[in-house]
Parts: sequence; structure tokens; C-alpha cells
Amino acid sequence: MTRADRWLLAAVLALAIALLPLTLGAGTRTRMVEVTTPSGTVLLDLTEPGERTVRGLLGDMVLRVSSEGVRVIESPCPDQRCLNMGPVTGSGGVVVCIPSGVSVSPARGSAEVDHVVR
Amino acid sequence: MWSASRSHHVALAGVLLALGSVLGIVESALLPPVPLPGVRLGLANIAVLVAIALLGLRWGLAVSMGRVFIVGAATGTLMGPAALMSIAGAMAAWVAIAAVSRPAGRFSMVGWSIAGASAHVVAQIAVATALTGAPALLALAPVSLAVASVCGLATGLMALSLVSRTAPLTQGVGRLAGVEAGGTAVGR
Repeated sequence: MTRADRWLLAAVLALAIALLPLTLGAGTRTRMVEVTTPSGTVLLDLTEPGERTVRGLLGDMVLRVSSEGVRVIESPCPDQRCLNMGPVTGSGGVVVCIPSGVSVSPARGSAEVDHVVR
Repeated sequence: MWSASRSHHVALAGVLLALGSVLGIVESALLPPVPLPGVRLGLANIAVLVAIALLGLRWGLAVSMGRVFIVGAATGTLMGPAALMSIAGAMAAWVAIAAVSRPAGRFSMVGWSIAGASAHVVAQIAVATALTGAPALLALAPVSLAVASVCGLATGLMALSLVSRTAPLTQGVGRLAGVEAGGTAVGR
């Protein structure tokens, strides 16, 4: 490695650390989690545990709502990365399935909602 | 008119394209996917780095794009959003490597790989955010960037080691970054 290589690696890691506040919640805590799908946005209530099904580009995805948050438990995507992400709680976390076009994140206050799934 | 040197370039590019494609397919099939969009070890990038070092940026771009196409076709992701992310990542990585490869010698292949991996993951997160319309994805950027830079370090070291140990193939083919004429890797 050259000296410039080391400086570059240090700069990239420093940038990653500087961006860490992005991973933190906005400070507000909500009991709702929003699921963005190709057909619209739905809200899940964290106080109502159970399994919910949403429709993605590749088919149905099953989400589990529990006390620890929302996780994807079934997905038609080839890599199944989304199954290892999360959980998404009211204050943080994100799950995304790119092939399905579905993402799960804490609800934003002004999100336009198509419907709420209970 | 084709010269023996150009034929050698084409043959070597073909070998590196095959190597990159096999590494990409094997990585997809055998290694568990990292639960971060766009982040992977990037073994296929070893072939791209070697192509850029031995043959130049244009051949490196051809190997990179060819690898994206072949791996996408083999894994069944060629026509989906994953292909768009792969193309964006590969192009961003190539631009970043092109930027740090001049002036020659300032950065070694390791630096190229770190720059390429970082640009790759930033581009993929940007495309993923645009595809899903979920700005919450940006929250994954710090961890993804840190993991990608470490993966870039690893693949850069592997690429440099590969070039250092295949000196007979490199003689007369092109100028190398961070490698002496005798094939020994050097640091500065």
C-alpha cells in the first residue's frame, strides 16, 4: 500500500463515521412503521402483533410484527437479504428488498398513507 | 489492423472476463449475502482491477460491464432492478478508479480498489433509494461505506498479489500500479 492508499482508507472510514448520525432516529418515537410498496404505502401498528402480507414486484412478502419490531419472514426475492435485515422499530432500523421494490422504515409524521393494515 | 500485441490484449481481456464472471457467480452462489444493499466482498472486482492495471481503463470497463452482464444472466437478475444497481455500481467504481489512477503511482491497486468499492456502494444506495422511493435507505450508508472500504482493501490486496505473482504474463503488456518491473509489490 502507498501512503495515499492509507490516507484514502482513513478518509473513507472518517466519512462513514461522520455520516453515522444518519443511522440514528430523528429523536421521536412512533408506534407506527411504514411499508412502501410499488402500489403504495401502508402503516403497521407495532402494538398489534401478527403477520401481515404485502404485495411486491415479485409477489407476496410476509412481515412479522412483534414486540421487537417488524421483520420480513418470507420473500420471493432470489438473495433473501431482507430476511436478515431489521428489525424495524418505531425509532429506527430499515429493511429493504430491492427486487421486490418494498421497504420498511419508521413512519414519517407527514407520510401520505393509502391504508393501515391491522 | 490487428497486431500480435492487440491479440494478446484481447486474449487476456477474455481470460479476465471469464475469471471475473466465475468469481461473481461463485460468490453469489456460495457466500451468504450481506444484509446491506449493494455490499458484497466483490471477488469479481479482482479481475477488473487486474484488467485496468495490465490493459488500461477502456479494457477494464469492457471487462467490468461484460462481467455484470454475464453474472446477471447466470443468476437470473439481468432484467430486474438488481441489474440497474449493478450497472450503476460498476460505472461509478470505474469512474472513481479512473480518477485515482492518475497520476500513475500515487495510488496502488489497493487504493484503486478502495475508491472503486466506496463509489460502488454509494451509487448502489442512491439507485436503490430512487427505485424504492424510501429515503430511509440512506441510513444504511455509513455502515455500508465502512464495510465496502474494508472489502475494497481486501480485494485490492488480492489483486496486487495476483499481478505480482504472474509477472511473465505482464511483461510488455502494460504499465502496472504499485508493482516493480520484476513483479514484486512495493509500498511507499
